[in-house]
Amino acid sequence: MRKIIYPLLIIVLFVGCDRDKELDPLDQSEIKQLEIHNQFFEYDGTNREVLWAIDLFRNQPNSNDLTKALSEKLGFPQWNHSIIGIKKSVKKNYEASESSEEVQSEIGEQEILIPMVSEEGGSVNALLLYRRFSNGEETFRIADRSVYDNLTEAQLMQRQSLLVASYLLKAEKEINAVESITIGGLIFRDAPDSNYGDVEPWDYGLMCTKKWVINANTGDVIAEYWVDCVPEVVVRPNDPLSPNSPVTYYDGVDGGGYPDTNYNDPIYYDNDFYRTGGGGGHTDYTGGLEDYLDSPKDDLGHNPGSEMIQSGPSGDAKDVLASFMTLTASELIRYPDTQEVAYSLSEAASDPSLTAEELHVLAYMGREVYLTAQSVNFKIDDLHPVHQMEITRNAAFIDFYPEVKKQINESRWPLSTQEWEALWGIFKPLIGELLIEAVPGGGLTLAFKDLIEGANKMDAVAITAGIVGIVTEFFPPGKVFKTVWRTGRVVRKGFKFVKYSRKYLDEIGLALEKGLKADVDGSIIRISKNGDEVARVTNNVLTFKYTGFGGDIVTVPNKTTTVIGKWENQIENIWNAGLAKQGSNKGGMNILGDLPNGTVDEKWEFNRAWLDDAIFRKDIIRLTADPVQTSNILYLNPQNLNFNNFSQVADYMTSFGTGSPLFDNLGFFGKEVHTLISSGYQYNSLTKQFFKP
Amino acid sequence: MILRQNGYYLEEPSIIGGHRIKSDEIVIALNAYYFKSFSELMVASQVSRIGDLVDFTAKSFDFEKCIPMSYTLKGNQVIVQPINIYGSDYTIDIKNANLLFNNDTKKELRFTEWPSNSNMNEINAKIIRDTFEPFDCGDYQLINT
Repeated sequence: MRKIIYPLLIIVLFVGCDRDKELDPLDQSEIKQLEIHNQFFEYDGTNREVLWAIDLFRNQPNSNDLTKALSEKLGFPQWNHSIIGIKKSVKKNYEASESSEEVQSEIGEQEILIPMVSEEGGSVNALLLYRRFSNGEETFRIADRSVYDNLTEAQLMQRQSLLVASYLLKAEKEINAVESITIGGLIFRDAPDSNYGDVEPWDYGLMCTKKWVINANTGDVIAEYWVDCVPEVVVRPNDPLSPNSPVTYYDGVDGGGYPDTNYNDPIYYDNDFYRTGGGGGHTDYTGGLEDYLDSPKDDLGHNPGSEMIQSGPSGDAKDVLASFMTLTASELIRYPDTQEVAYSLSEAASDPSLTAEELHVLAYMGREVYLTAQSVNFKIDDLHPVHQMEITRNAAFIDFYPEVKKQINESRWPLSTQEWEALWGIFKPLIGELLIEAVPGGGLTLAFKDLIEGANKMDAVAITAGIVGIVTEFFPPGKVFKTVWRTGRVVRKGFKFVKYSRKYLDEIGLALEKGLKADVDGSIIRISKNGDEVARVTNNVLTFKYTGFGGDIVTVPNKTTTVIGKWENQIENIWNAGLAKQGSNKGGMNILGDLPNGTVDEKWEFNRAWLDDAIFRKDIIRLTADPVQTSNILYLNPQNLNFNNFSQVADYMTSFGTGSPLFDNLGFFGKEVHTLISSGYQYNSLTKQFFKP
Repeated sequence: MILRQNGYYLEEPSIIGGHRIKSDEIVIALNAYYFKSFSELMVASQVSRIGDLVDFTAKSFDFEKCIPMSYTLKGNQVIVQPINIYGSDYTIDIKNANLLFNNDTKKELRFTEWPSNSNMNEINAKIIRDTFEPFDCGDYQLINT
């Protein structure tokens, strides 16, 4: 009870003290729980039996957990549509009616069936069953429709299944106005001649409604049965009371009995039930409330598996460690919050590439996760954020480690600090794709840089820790455990980026940031925009899809490819895709995309310096516009110049210097061509590249 | 038809944008034609942000600062004959003494007289705009700078 009261108290105090202050996520979650709680017990009626049942449920020690679990899985009880039954074994009483004592002992039993519905207009998912026994003991059970849905026909034809079906039908008729329901391939509906005045089991002193069981495939009525019975009003032979007497009494019950109360066949008992057809059996398919809780009903302290995990692995051999990890996984998988780490642990346990030392580390991490989660009954939300972050690191480590180890050799890890930064740049937008909130801006923290420096000197353990560090930085502490698993796909994708396009991590990160998509297709990284491929990286060679002059731009490993040409719809597209840098970019493209403000002359000065650097580096100079076309190289052409080949262009360009008015008439691209020619570059009209012989 | 020589013909400017020019900048490429004699044609040019345009002066048509070409008159047409071997002849129609039409660039040329008090021409951005606006700016908008 304390567990429930404290959060409520905190919320009340918080809201009461500072109404203007926005609630933090945890408080919002608790308020949501309150809303669930209130909706769960919504009841407009005044029936004291129902009110009693509500009160009883509400005051259970685990009421909060139950309402949450049941509302999530089955919906909310429709107390206003409760089916109220007073248990009295009519048949038995009828036969034993001479013993008033025995009759009275049965009177106190009661059963209330409360339909559970997820949303307005939705199907009845279950019946919440309240039962009070004659000895005063009370219990709640669940008749879960999905359980009955999965029964065989023979099981469905058993007594309890038919009763449950009939009450689900009754509830559906009342709530959703349907005439029939289908459960497990059988249709249940009222028989056309069903009413209380036309019932067959007269011999038992009951008036019931008749139900049909219909094969959903054939439409054949395969059985009929009677339920929802009320005791027949019996006027005994020679009774001084006439059949029309206003005074009636119910068979077996002295004086008046149960005015205006329907007698419903109870779901548990095997008497008071009559049918034709169908098989036998009295199996109880209802479940206890605890079955719907995420936590086990047993005391964990007495769970043998828990005790074994507590004591740790019994040895350091690989099979012993793997077996311990499997045991831990099998325990963790029982709880929704820890299922993912259970899968990861299980996979690691069966990974033949992991050494005993590595399994040892992972086994103890798994144990730590288990014990920490156990302390809060495996409800990770109940963990303090600091502890949640701790077990998240362990859990993510278990998840990532085997993959990291596999990638180290293939991708030549570790990464440089710059590459880590680039990987961060990739993770950010990728995780943004997953719609995970609170992705922080900026680059890596200094502390994390230190970690990277350390990681690069060490091994897979340190590298995995580095990746876990990156990933966990993305999330708000209170949600990290549950959300970190969603990054698994991203992290694995990041690994492949490193493997196949290590030189382009920066570019890919930028492209992603600009809204492009990067996908791994075998060993090819495809970068696309609106579904169209704009570039691909194969074996660490970047090819930019370019349909203009010269076609695709293929970069050269260990050299910077400087791209010049016309800006509009050419270079600007490459630049905007984020697939180029401005300046040295070995294996990648260098584009002048960012010019400072200034006059045309000042801009050219900057352009010239950028080009001089490329010349100094002996870059490959790739053209994206035809230099032979005067419109590409000239702003003004009062001489009506026309060239037939590049040789003529070169001849023209060498005829004047930079101080000439002819130079002033060149556009930026023309000036670049002029500069390159003046610097001794030659042009290869096949490759569309300038090169220095 | 008469070509005036007490000034120069200013050709409708071309707007240059986008090519390494910020989107909020307008750069103008401008030719001015000065028919120096009955056979010499001097073309001075400017490529500049509109706010950075400077006046054309007589000095703008100095041999070192402009492109010298030759021309001949044929009826109401000027046949321009570039000196460069990669250049080609083209014609300019003489609409009247103050208005020409370049058949190569498909642009009008309008006459601007030298100022009487000096050789300096008072043309500036305002005059360009007053003279030619509205002219085709493509996707760009002229801004006051």
